[in-house]
Amino acid sequence: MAKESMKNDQKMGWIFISPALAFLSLTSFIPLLYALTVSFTNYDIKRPNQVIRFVGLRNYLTGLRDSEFITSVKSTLLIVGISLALEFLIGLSLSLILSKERRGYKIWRTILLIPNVIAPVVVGVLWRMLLNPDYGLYKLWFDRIGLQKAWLSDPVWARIAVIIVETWTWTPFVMLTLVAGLKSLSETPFEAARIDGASGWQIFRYITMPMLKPIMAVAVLLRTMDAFKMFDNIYVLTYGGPGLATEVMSLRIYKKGLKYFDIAVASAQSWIFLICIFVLSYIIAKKFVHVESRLE
Amino acid sequence: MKRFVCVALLSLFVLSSFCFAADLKLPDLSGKEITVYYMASATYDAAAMQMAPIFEKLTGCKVKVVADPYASLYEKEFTALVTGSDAYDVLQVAYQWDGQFVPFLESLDDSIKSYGINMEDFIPGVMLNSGYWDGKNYGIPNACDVYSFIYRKDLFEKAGVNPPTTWDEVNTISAKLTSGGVLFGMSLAGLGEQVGQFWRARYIGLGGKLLNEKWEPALSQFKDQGLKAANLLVELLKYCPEGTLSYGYPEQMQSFISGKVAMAEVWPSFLRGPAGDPNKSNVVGKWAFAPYPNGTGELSAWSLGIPKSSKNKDAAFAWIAFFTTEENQRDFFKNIGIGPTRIAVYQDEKLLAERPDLNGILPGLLKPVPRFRVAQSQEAYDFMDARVSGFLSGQMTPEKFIEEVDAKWKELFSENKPTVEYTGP
Repeated sequence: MAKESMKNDQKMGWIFISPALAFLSLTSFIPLLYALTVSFTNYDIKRPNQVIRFVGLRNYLTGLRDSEFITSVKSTLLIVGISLALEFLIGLSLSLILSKERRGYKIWRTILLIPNVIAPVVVGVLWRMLLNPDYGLYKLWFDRIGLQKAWLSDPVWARIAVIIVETWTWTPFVMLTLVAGLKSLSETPFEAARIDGASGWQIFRYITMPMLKPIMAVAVLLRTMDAFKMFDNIYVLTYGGPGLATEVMSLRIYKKGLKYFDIAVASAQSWIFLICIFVLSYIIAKKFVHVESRLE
Repeated sequence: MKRFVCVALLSLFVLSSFCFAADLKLPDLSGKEITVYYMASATYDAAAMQMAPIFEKLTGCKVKVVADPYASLYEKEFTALVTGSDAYDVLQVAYQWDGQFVPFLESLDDSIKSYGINMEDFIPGVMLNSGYWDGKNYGIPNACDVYSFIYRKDLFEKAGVNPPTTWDEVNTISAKLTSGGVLFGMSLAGLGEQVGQFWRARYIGLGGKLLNEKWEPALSQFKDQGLKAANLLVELLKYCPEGTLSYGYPEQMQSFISGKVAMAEVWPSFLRGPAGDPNKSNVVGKWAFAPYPNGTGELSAWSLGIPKSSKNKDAAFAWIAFFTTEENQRDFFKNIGIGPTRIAVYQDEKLLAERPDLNGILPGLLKPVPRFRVAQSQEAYDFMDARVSGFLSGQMTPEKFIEEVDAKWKELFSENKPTVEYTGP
């Protein structure tokens, strides 16, 4: 009887998740598998009558030998690495301040969230205007304090501009996640530490940080996966320039696939990109599991 | 009063279109609807939007105008063509895309004949490079341009200099006119996808060749010209406003019409409208165009074509025929600044007297420097443009630029080598 009820429950479970599964299959799995298939063929959209053949790993080798793709990998690692570090540093600091229930903090948390709710293309346009060399508001302010830089036309400063924009956009997300994490922590260990005479730093170092680690790992995981996909704001802000200074992997793959219509190589590069993100996410997730078991 | 003048002008414009339509003999297309796809630039799309209601009145056919910026136009048009989409009935095609688009476009030869359109009325340097492929017309040129200088007549007169006739002179004049961070000698559109043209114009002007007749890159054979062109451009940046390498066309245009620069290398179509508009420009009546030294200005040409998958080919051709008439081209030039493709407009004495800025454009269009139009075009030019931006921003040396472009182009043109002979510079 119990076995039958369990079977019925399972059946119902499948019925409930089937719309979501169908939606995911249509929007994610099928395109992914299609791209995987194309990446092993000589498919050329410019030659619709060509016979499609299996070409093994040729597109993957071409994709990996593409000097512009390699450059974009380096740029992505640099921009993502620095942006994530800054987002965490600033996000954690803000969350430690704003997690306390004081007057006006709720409003601040809402105001600080604004950059995160603006569409990425709008963020790009906004910052392109703010850093415009002739009439940009921030450019004029920076000039006044002696920071006269060619923000979007010098390779180093263009990268810095992209990092600033990325950090500005995503720090609120990190802050909000960590505020939620801090608020969910039990008060007992903190009270005990205070009674034992622990300093503020000791409480942060030995209680807050270890307890917050699982939440931080989730935030790192989500942000890493997302940061690697950055596209819209760079497309509008610098279009990968000057030269190739800010050309990230997703922009490069977009150009290969939809500007040069080399769909087969672009599909192979997309899969290389996906595998890289997957491996990185796996490492972070593994670390998270490790932390959780240690806490148990 | 101003409103009255506007209404009167518009009425005249509509009336002239009606009068001309009588000569064109447009068919009755009642009940039909076509979608025309143009570049969004406040020029070509603006002209299409102006003409759509007039065309509907004349033929009964509704016209839906869709427009996208240059950056995304190619991918959207090409995707629509290769997927056999019937979303668009008329496409505005940049000539450098012809090699890829032609297999998916309808030949217009029969319709051209039946409408009695004489293709010899079009500027040969434009017509043969835009919409014309392997002896057939796949598009009718609707707009053209050639890179030129726009310069401040008042500042040139004051400094006692004439528009440059050599590339060295471009730098010396720019240096002379640059003063104290307030006025700059030159303005360029320095974004990666636009900046390559400036190097190519100098390189070709100095005698360099991009490819030989077998589509093999010739850059390493003309290395001296390549390096000299690169050095001239690097030096010229000193006389341009700070941040030039992040300038797109809007920023470049702004720098000229605000009076910040004495000269700019531009597509005349984009600038003549705003530069002559007293509501936008500080330099109205103070500017003129001059051709590039040795006529090495790169060509811009657009044609209107019909996808094979269109379900309204007759109505689509009627629109193209109507849109490219001499009368409409004259009006588009006068009202919007679009470069005409018909010779007669450039020889219209009355128009030349009224709009002297039309002078000096035709010589460049008669022998233009076209981009190559094969399937590899987009990637080849993009690769070069990004590296021109690279050496200008100090990320690589000009030697490395030549080396890298030569190697990449070799790779690009060795696969799927074009079957037609290369005849360009």
